[in-house]
Amino acid sequence: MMNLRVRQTVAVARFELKRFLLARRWIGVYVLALAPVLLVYARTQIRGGNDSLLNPSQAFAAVFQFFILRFGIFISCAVVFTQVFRGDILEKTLHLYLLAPARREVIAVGKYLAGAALVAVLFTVSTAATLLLMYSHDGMFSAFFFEGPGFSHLVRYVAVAALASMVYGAEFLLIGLKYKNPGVPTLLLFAWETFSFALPSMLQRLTVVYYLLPILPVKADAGPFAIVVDPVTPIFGIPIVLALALALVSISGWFVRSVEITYSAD
Amino acid sequence: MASGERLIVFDNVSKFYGEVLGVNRVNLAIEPGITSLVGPNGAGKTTLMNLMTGLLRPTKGSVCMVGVKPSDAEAFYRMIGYCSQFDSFPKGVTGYQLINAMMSIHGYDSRESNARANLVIEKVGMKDAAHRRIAGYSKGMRQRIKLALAIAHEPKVLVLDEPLNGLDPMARAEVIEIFRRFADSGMHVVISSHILHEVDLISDRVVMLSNGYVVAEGDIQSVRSEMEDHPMQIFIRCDRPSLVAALIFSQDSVVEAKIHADGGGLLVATRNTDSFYRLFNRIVLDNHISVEAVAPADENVHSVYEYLIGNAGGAAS
Repeated sequence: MMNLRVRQTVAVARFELKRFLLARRWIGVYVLALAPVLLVYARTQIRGGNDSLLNPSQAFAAVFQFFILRFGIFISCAVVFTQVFRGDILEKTLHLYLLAPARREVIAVGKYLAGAALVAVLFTVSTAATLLLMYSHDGMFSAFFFEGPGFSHLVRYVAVAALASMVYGAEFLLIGLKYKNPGVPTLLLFAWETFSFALPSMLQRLTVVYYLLPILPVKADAGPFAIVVDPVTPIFGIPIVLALALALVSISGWFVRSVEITYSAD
Repeated sequence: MASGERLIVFDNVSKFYGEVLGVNRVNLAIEPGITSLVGPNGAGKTTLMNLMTGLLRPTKGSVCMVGVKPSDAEAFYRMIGYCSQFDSFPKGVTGYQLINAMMSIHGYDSRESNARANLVIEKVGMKDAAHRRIAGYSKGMRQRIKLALAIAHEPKVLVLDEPLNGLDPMARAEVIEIFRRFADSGMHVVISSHILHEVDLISDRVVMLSNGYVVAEGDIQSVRSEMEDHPMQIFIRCDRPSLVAALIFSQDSVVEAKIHADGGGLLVATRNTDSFYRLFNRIVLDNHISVEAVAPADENVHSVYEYLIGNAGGAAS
């Protein structure tokens, strides 16, 4: 039985991924993933190797934290995951899944995995490409990657991109199931995560970035209004993020069990 | 096999969409064979089908399909095939890709999914168009793909919402043949249709719905015979219809006799068909009347529909 459910989950995920790749509505997500790569590439083309004002390590930390993590991955997860069920309801195709002899939780997990794979692959590749480009000047690349901490940085950034895709994805999967119009909760969550640096220490612990930022090798300057809190060590932070994603996907699976097909009412 | 395990059972089922009634207090025990749901638009046919297939949950009561409840999704959907009214498909996929993917989600391995997709596509006559995108299909082709999807896993119960819509006469005949074979092998085929003459041809029994209520259920002859306020009409072609008309009024149950305009027959309305046929036989033998044809004139779905639902039905034809 377990084997059957795994096979069904993989089948749902594979079909969903195919649909993601075929649908035009995800173009915005591809653009968001490509944007930091293009920006850094354009900058290196314009300034060449004489960008003495730029500390690549700090610059990338800022690009990653403020654009890739808090904006690119967040918005992409909002766009993709709120639509995995809602999009099917609007397209009137959800019944095709619900008529399969599979537990509805299996369908929820399959759809979640497809969305997480899409966003994680796009943004881990984007993160890696942006970091590599940042150090593409003569001499800097080998000094950073072969003689310095480059590969360790790369692994940490990529890991955070992947974890963020998973946990934000799980949050938006649930929001997409719970709300017919996910716009308002998305905006609230965006504000909560974006301005978390200004929240009291107890509340900062209720944000996802609190657990992700300590994994990063370099912290970007959060500005004069930031409230400094004790960071959680990655040994605790990573399991907490994964457990949160698992819990949210489980709750989503529970919600899917009560979904009814009343397309006209939706 | 216990009787409940071969029946589709609705036990006092009601479904409300907020304040709006879908169906109310439905009690059914449907035997294997072809069962047609008949009723005007908004009568509750699709609601009943969605309840049958677990896409809706009853507000009250319970549904049990051949011994399995919808809450046991893995067992339930293995034996149900549903060709829904929803004429929409995932964007960008071909007919073959859709069926193949759905078979994989059913749990078949890739070889089996592939084999089932190919077999069923051939069965519904879509081999040539199988690798074209569904978005480019005609209404009839989409209907066939929906049907293929519904039967690909060889279900025990086939539920079809307006399955003949969009099909040309040849395709209709082929599809009806598929339903008949299915039913003859002891399976359930539940069809909703507003094309009453086709319902008449293919159904073993009907369930008539109006405004969310089941107004009649059973094989059409027994439904018709229970409608005592509508005398049965019997169509007779014979010589000397005037003599027949004069003689049949010796029986109280005969309420009307109309001679055909061409003088070659008559239409009789009677409240007791059995005694009428006995009397008519005697009249024919005693008077040496030549009879060309005798047939019930309103023992069909259309007439029953007209009597029970009447012009309120509107959409049925």
